[in-house]
Amino acid sequence: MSLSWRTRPGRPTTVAVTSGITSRARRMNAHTSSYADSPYFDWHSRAYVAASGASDRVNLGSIQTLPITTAAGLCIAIPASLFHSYFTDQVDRFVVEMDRNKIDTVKEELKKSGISVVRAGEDRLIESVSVVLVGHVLDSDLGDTIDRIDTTGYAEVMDLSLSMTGINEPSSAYLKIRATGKAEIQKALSILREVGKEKQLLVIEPIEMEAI
Amino acid sequence: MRDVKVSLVGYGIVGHGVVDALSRKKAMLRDMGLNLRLVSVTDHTGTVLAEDGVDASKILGERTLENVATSGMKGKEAISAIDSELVIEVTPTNIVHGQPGLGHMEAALSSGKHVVTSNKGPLVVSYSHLKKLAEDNGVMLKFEATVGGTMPLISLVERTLVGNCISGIQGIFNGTCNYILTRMTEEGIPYTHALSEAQDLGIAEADPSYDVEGVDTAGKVVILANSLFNMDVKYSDVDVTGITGVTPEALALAQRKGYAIKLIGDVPALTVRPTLVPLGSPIAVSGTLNSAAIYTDLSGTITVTGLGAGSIETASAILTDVISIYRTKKIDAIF
Ligand SMILES: NC(=O)c1ccc[n+]([C@@H]2O[C@H](COP(=O)([O-])OP(=O)(O)OC[C@H]3O[C@@H](n4cnc5c(N)ncnc54)[C@H](OP(=O)(O)O)[C@@H]3O)[C@@H](O)[C@H]2O)c1
Repeated sequence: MSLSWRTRPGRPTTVAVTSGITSRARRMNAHTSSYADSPYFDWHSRAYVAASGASDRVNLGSIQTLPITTAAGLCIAIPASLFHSYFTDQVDRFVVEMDRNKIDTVKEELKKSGISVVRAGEDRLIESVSVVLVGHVLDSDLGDTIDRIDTTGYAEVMDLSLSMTGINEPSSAYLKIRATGKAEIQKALSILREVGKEKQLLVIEPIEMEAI
Repeated sequence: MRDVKVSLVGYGIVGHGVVDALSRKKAMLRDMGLNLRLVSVTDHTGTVLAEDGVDASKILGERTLENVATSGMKGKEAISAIDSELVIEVTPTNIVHGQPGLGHMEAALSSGKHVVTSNKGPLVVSYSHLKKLAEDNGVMLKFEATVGGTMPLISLVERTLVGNCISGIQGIFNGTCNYILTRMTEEGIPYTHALSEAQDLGIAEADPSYDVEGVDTAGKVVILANSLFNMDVKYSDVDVTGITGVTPEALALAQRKGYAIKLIGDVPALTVRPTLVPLGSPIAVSGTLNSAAIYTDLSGTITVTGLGAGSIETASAILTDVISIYRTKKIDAIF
């Protein structure tokens, strides 16, 4: 089974929104067993608010997306709510992207609905890095591994693919991490290295080609 | 014609290649004005001595010198006693104590003989000491074959790229690991299968740990750091992770995302670890090939690739070093 969807390209402005309580850790662990026999499981962890629905195509195979129309007239395609219905669990935080001039309106509307906006108006997550983890990636609490990056405030796991063989066999995960800058990418990588040591995971980082 | 008496110490895979290469290139070398005379070959059983040059055809068929030795002299004793001005040292590598090569090189350098080697051990353990010994005795220590086998790297940086500042070198320095990772990717086979295939083909040793645990690559990282970056580092300064934890699933996952997983040594970072290298990158070479990206200030990135091991291939790097010792004086010197 393979899940994936495309997100908006470019450098959009983002807003981080919080609601709910359940950690992604639980969510991940809750449903991984149902994929034990599937070779790959792609999972993108972020939702995006599109200023116009046109550029944001959500493609989840047979799974239906849930467009929500806000008072401001924006089309929100929120995979997070999809996780909500599909995995019957809740999301604690998600990041949305939109045109800069819509931010204030959306913030106001969200506030009125009792949702707190953690951070808004930054050009965030402009750098990205790919990492492969090998070992007991799931058994060592993948959700926690991801949260260690996500809770930094400067870096987030944007893309995750898993490859599992069998029980007690090492599994592999591909992570794409985005961060607010090059230094933050390095900090995120050193967090992953630490987590790798702690959880006995092989952390395979990309080569740093020096472009001169 | 410059007449040079050469002694060879160590008569294994590389030693045989050296005898073969010197014999095959004899005429070409003479045309260059260099008469290399291999006056002795020594292994753990004894020494073949020949003032006019050892007859390659008489010894190349012998695995050891046991049946052809003309003298019982061994090791340091042979090096000091035999009249030669250059010693080719190709005994087994030991990166913990460097022996027996370290003693051989000390004996040669301190008696005023040039040393050319493919043996990493003594350089990993005692580079600065050996370098000083060579300088104090007015002779040269050359070791192109220790890193990347026949792939030109040290002389490329020291000579061809001279005038550039080198900010870093990253590369694949172990053909055994590269072969195993390549086969795991191509066939989706587990590490153990790829390893036994490599062992069957003679690409991996019966005890492969030296290669697959990254020890060999780390030794090369130490040599590059000390010789090209003037760092004074030891093996223990290198952060080493081998390839035994890499799975075919991880390789497949990486490949789907546009990466190969390669064991990469990095100087001056002093790391050896499985690393994601973009597919199509010039250093993402396959099979037993080695590769290196050299980052320079004036020339940008220079990439080289070539065979990291092999009898005649490694001997070719040794031959280049030997010739360069005499060319340095004749052609390349600044007057
Ligand atoms: N093979 C390659 O492609 C390659 C490439 C690059 C660098 N190197 C390096 O080059 C060196 C030689 O490699 P190799 O593959 O030729 O190794 P090898 O086949 O094991 O040969 C080593 C030779 O040294 C002899 N030897 C051992 N102790 C000695 C002593 N005390 N005095 C004199 N001779 C002694 C060995 O004799 P016994 O076998 O009878 O003990 C053998 O003839 C090693 O340091 C290796 O790391 C090899």
